[in-house]
Amino acid sequence: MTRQHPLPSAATLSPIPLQQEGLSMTQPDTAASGLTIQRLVKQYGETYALKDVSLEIPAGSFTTLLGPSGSGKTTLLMSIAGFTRPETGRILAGGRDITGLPPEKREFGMVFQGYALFPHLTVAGNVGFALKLRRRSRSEIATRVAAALDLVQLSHLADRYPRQLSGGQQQRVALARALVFEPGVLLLDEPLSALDKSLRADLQWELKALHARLGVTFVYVTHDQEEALSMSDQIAIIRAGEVVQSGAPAELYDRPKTHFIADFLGRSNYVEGTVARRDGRPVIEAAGQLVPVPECAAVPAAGRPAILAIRPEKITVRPDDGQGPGLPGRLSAWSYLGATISCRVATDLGEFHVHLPTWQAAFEPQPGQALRLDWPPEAGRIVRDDR
Amino acid sequence: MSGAALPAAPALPRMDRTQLIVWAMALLPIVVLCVFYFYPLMRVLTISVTEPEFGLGNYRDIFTSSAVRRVVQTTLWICVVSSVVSLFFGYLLAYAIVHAAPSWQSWMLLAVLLSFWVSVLIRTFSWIALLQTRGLVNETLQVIGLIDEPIRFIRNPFGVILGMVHYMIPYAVLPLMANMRTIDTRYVPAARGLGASPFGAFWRVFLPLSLPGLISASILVFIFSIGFYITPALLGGGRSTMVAEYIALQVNETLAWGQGTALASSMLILVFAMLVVLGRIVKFRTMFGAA
Repeated sequence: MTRQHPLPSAATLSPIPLQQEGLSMTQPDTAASGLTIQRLVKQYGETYALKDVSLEIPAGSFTTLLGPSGSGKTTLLMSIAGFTRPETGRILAGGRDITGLPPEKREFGMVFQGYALFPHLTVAGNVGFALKLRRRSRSEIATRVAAALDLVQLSHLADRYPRQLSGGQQQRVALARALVFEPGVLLLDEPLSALDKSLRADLQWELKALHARLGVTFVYVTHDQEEALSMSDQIAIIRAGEVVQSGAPAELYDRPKTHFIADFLGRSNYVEGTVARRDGRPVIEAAGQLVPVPECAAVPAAGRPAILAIRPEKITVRPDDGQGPGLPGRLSAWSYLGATISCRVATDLGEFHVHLPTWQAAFEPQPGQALRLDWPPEAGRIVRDDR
Repeated sequence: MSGAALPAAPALPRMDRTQLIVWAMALLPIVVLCVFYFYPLMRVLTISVTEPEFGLGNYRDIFTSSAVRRVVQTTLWICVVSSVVSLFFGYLLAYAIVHAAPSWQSWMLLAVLLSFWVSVLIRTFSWIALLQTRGLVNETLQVIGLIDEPIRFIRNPFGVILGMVHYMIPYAVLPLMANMRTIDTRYVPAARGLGASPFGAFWRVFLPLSLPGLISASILVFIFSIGFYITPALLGGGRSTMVAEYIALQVNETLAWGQGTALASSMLILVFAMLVVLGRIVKFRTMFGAA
């Protein structure tokens, strides 16, 4: 396989594209390889770290493995990297079976949690490590290390040791080290988890821009759902060793299949009740209320239990005038968050969380205020109960 | 500590009383050390410059005497070889223990430390019982027909080195383990991920990072090896006399006290010098894993 995406310089990187070019995964002049994961099983004693995981990771995509800690997402990444040997199943890279290959033969870049920079080597020594192993000439190593450091804007720190760098700088060195040999796949294990929040936000933009520049396949492990939503082309949500659902961030957020996903990716309000039909349209009957449900394949037959999930920001609130549609409730608490007001409203169907854009809030919040909550039927999703 | 038991105590501030108790507790060990350790040590140093006459004559003789030179040479090469062998096995053991499953680690460490509980004398006689010409090993090898004549395992430098290595391995393992525990377990996988073979990752990453442990272990083990007395005396069979045995010979047999104490003092100075070097490389507290 020839890999020829030249590392661009910082100058070409600096204006960070604010708008990603759609979800197109075809990138020009990349040698990124796609990954196919087929029915991986990994057991530790009695417990399954992975049970029958299959996943398609398109070439050049930014794919995030998202899940709570202990879900198996790191085991999956380590299996792709070659550090964990699954009991059964196959991993293909660019169509080639790599399941039995040791990590050093896979030619994937990897950024470890906590970076694992070699403390006895300088920044340049760390970045050049992979090239030295590949017996490249001294001049080639120097040129490539310089280009890689330029890419992460750390050229001025080449002679420092890792302990002399800040967390953010260490993270960039780890990136440069993993990218310097131009791998087709970059694996990242919670690379931002050790950094403070504002730095994390900056580096999210940078990582995304870097991905767009290089066209390398990124496989990114995180437990942070915001990180996953903001950077990925594809998110695979992993829970208890299984991929619960995978797809584009908007798809997962707007059309969660299960209660777990609706809860893990953002927040949701839930209406639990029995499915019924009124005038030929499906509704959920709960606590004497009839809540309309969008017509879709996931709606169970009438008389069956169902859960409806509604995103807090899709609900509109108005002062209760005793008329019109909507769910009556009383404001029990609210907090002002600048851009939004987060409200808790006590209703017959339980407590509802509502996020209102501040500029749209059509009322002055008062404790105990009578309100009406309303949302279009399409805002709700029937989710499978997997609590 | 409650003050109710000592009604007269309030005259002294609380802090002073605690200090007083600490000093009282330390007094006995200090006295014991002075009488049985520092006083004899001073005597040794004094004798080395006064017997048979006042001056540094004994120290000059160390450099001129051919017997001393031979003994020092024997001591040096036996110590170097046994230290290197101890470090090699100690490194393997420490590596294995640090990388073993946590439930195994304490058992493996216990197995290493077990040898501390057996005295050197017993261990040396055990080796003799095993390795002498009519010992277990030779008899077995002869019975199964691997050898016709018994192999001379002991009463030669090999026997001395064997006995010394057996004793010194735990002293190599402890500092090495303390050091290896500080090496992040992700470094080797990181090197593998960048294209290093298992050995390449060890050679380029793990070994350089374990160098401080290796240096402190080697100085510690070498210092120990110089002072061996019983093991060379019994397993060497009088053929490879080492410094400690030679000193005992001077003091007990030939009664050349001045010569013996001068040699002893020189060794003491040498060991102190090495400890100073060691102290510059590592903190003693971290060497044995103390927090």
